[in-house]
Formats: sequence, structure tokens, C-alpha cells
Amino acid sequence: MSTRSLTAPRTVAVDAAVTVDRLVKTYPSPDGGSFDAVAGVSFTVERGEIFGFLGPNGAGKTTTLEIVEGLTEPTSGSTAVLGLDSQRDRIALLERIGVQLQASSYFPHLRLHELLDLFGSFYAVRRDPDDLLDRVGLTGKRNALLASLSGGQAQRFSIVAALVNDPDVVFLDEPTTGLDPHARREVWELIESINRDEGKTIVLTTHSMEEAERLAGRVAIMDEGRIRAIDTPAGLISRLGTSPVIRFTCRPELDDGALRNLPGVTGLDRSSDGVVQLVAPDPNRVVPALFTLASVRTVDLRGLTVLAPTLEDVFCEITGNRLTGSTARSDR
Amino acid sequence: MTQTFTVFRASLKMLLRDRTALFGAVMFPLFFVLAMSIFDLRFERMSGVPASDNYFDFVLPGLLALGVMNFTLVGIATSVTGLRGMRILRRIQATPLRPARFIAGQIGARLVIALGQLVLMLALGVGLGGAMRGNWLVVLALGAVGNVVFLGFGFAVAGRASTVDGAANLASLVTLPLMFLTGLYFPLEAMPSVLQGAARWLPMTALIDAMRSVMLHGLGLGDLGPELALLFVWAAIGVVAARLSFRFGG
Repeated sequence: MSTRSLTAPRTVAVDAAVTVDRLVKTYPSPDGGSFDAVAGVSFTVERGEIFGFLGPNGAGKTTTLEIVEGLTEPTSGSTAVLGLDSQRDRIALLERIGVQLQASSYFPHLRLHELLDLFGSFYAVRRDPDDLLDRVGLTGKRNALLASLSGGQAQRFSIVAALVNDPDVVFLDEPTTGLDPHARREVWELIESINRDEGKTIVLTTHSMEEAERLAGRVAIMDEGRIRAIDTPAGLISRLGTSPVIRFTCRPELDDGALRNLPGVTGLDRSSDGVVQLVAPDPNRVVPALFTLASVRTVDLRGLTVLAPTLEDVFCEITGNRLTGSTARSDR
Repeated sequence: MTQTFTVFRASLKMLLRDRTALFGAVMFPLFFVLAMSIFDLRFERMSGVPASDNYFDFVLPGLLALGVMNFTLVGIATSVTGLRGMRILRRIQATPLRPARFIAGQIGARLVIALGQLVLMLALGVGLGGAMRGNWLVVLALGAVGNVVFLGFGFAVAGRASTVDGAANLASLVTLPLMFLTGLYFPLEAMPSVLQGAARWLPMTALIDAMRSVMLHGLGLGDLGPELALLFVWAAIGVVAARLSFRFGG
């Protein structure tokens, strides 16, 4: 019995893709003091999930990632990938992870297949460069230089370059920053497919709420070096406690009394340009009743929309509070 | 070993494809040789130089050493610093490649280009009437050893500098004394004796002396024991300095 309870925590650590325990990274600041880029962060990423780090610039997302990848030394705390310590087992760890760095580049005078060939040679396990290029639709560009690619193509290349060693865990630092909507969608599909079809664990950072909501199974909201909340996107939203809103205009007007009496309506708001907003925790109950009311009174409903709270609301709630706080501090 | 080779092969391709840099690296030393050959000068006091030889004969071995030094030391210092600036080295740091293999591959590639450059300079120099009484292969062997010394220094400079401009300035700080305190342009004997004593220990002095012994007097590697010993010591210092100060990140 006692043996089992002793070995249990270790099994958990090996099974997890990434473990971060009380991580702190302190940098000297220009005024002679110091600031915590990462101020005590702990979390676990399970195998097979897409884990998103969401936060404004300077929140500590990249620093956290680079410590986990073994590129930066932590001030205190420990990080591990697949049970391998980021500092002590650095080389063994690097064999099993794939890394796409923010704003990093590749040798400008090498062709795409040569770059993949070169980077593949750094690993014990390597994938065929042409298969990789085919994977991201860049077969036609195998002899091209990086400079001749579009933004989306270059980004797809930098992601596929993180797969040369067939890694178990892939780290992507802001994979869609600076891309147009079409290229962004392509990168999203690529990331989803790497996770779904190849079973790779993915850890990514982003400041796009839309991206975190679409890709990540779980999201950590990071701000000022701390994780403020960590949950599934739906879990974070429901935690916010904000209800969906039904919005519409109507001709002729429906009176407030009738609207408030609709089953499931908990609040009503009417703007000067005639837009009605009904607060409805369960819109499925309210919408049919609203249609019935409209048809009985022969009222024409227009522009009916149900607005669910998004991760953006959660994000603004968390970082908005912070912004007022820091303004107050700098005023002093 | 295979990783060192893949880095070597990739680095060589990059050097050959960067046409403007390659053109500069090849043309500048050739221009120096050409410019120096114009003057018909003779010094009264040039110890160890056969009486029949003029200034061009004297200076040509030094120019070969200079070409080697500039391409390797300045070239590697600025290019490695540039790679770090573009965060290319950071990306390599995220792979299991060991820094020593990256350094070895880069040094190897530069060595190939530098030796090609040396052959061109020697051919031009000899074509313009410069003395060449020794074996070409001995000159190349000396060039190769000198290269390793200066490439090590170059990596060390790259480890200290944070921008390409900074690397170029820092590299000049190393190359200028090696250019003027080593008897490259003028005989060492014409310098104050204190400076002469110090200059004897510099790697560039040993390289230039050795090249002169081969080209003016037809000596072979077996006759160059002291110069070679000093060059090997400096090569070891250079490689250790490269490894100690080199960093992928930052």
C-alpha cells in the first residue's frame, strides 16, 4: 500500500506532456531593481491536448515556453516535458519536442528542402523533407528560398520545420500573428490536423481570443507573469457568470411588459435607435416564445441575433481590472 | 561527426550563394595584391630578404596572410553575429545540436573558401612577378593553420558582440594590431625593440615569417618548427576561446 502511494505521483509526472511547478523568472529592470517576468506559475498539460496560453504582450507567455523548452534558465521552480527535466535532461528533451519560435528565422541562402534536411540531421529520429513539405502544401516550393514565400507559407514552413524530428510535444509561439484571415485559417487547420491526425500534444501562445477558443481544449489566461484562470474555453466563459443576450428590432414596437413576461427573460434593455436586448440565460426557451408573440401581434422581427459571451469577455474582465490597477499604480 | 558534416555542407552552400559577400571576400585581397605590385620599391634594410628581391616580393607573403585573416576573422564574427540577430541561432539552440559541432562545421566551410582565395592570390601574385621559391602546398598548409587561429578568434568576437556593427568594430580591434605590429608591410626590425619582442609572440607574425621563409627561401614545413609550434598554440587558444565565449542565444 505504502509503495503504491509513493510511486503514484511519479507516474502522473511521466504521463503528463508538460509539467510546470512554481516557476519564477526574474530579470533585472533598467531602474536597477528587478521584475518577475514569470511570477510563480504552475500548470500541467496532458498528452494529446491542445493547450493555449492567452495573454497580452509581456504577460510572460514566451518566457514560460522558452524555459520549458530548455532555452532559458528559470530563477526558481522546475519544468519538465514527458518527465524529462528542462535543465537536467535538456538534450533528451530536445529530441522529443518541436519548437516554433516567435520572430525567428532560418538561413536565408538555403532552399526549403535543404533547411529541413539540415535541421533533421540534428536529431536521432528524422522525417523525410519532401513528405513534410507535402504535408503543408509546399511541395512546389521545395527549391525556393524562405524570402520568396508569402507570410502564410513561411509560417506553415516554420510549423512543419518543428516536426522534422517527429516530436511528441510541439510548442508554437504565436503561430498566426501577422497573418491575413485566410492564411490564419489555413494555419489553424494545420495545427488541428497535427493534433488530431498525428496525435501530437500542442502548446501554443496567442493573443487572439478567437484562436484560443477555436483551437485549444484548455486555455490558461496569463497576465503580469501569473496565470489568472485556467480551464476549457466554455468553462472560462461560464465562470464569468454573464448570460447570453437576444438582440433584435421590431415594427411596430412590442411593449416592455409583454417582453418581460416571456418565459426565461431575466432582463430588458432598449436603446435609443430601437434595438431591444433581452437577457436570457437559456435562449432556447425565449426565442420560440418571442416568435409566437410576434406572430400573434403581427409584428415584424428584424436582425435577430443571439450573442453568447466569448472568451474575449473573459479576457477583458481579467485584464481590464488589471489595467485600471496599473494606471493607479503609475499615478502614484 | 555527420552533424558536423551537414553543418559544413550547409555553411559552404550559404557562403557560395551569398554572391556579394563572396565577391568582396575574393576581390579585395586580389586588389591589394594588384595595388602593391605597381610600386617598384627597394629597402636598404630588409634582413632575411635576398638582395635581388624588391618590396613586392617582401610584402606578398604578408598579403596572403592578411587576406586569410580578414575573410575568416571579420567574416565569421559578423556573419555569426548576424545569424544570432535574426534568431537563427536561437532556433538551432532548440535542437539537440551541440555548439562544438556547429562551430566545427562553420570553421570547415570557411576554411575551404579561404584556401581557394589563397590559391587565387598566390597565382595573381606570382603572375605579377612575386617570388615563389617554395612549395605551393606548404603555403596552403600554413594558410589552413592560420585560418583555424583566426576563425577561433572570430567566433570569440561573435560571442562578445551583440550587433553586426559591433562585431565588425570588435573584429577590427583584433585585426589592426595584427596588421601593423607584425612586419606585414614593413620589416619588424625597423620597429622599437620593445614592440619587436611583443610582436614575436603574435600568431600573425609567425604566419607571415613562415610564409616568407617558404616563398623567399624555399623552406619546407620541417624547417618551420618554432613558427608552427606558436601557430598551433594560438590555434588551440582560438578554438578554446571560441567554444567558451560562443552562445546561440542572447
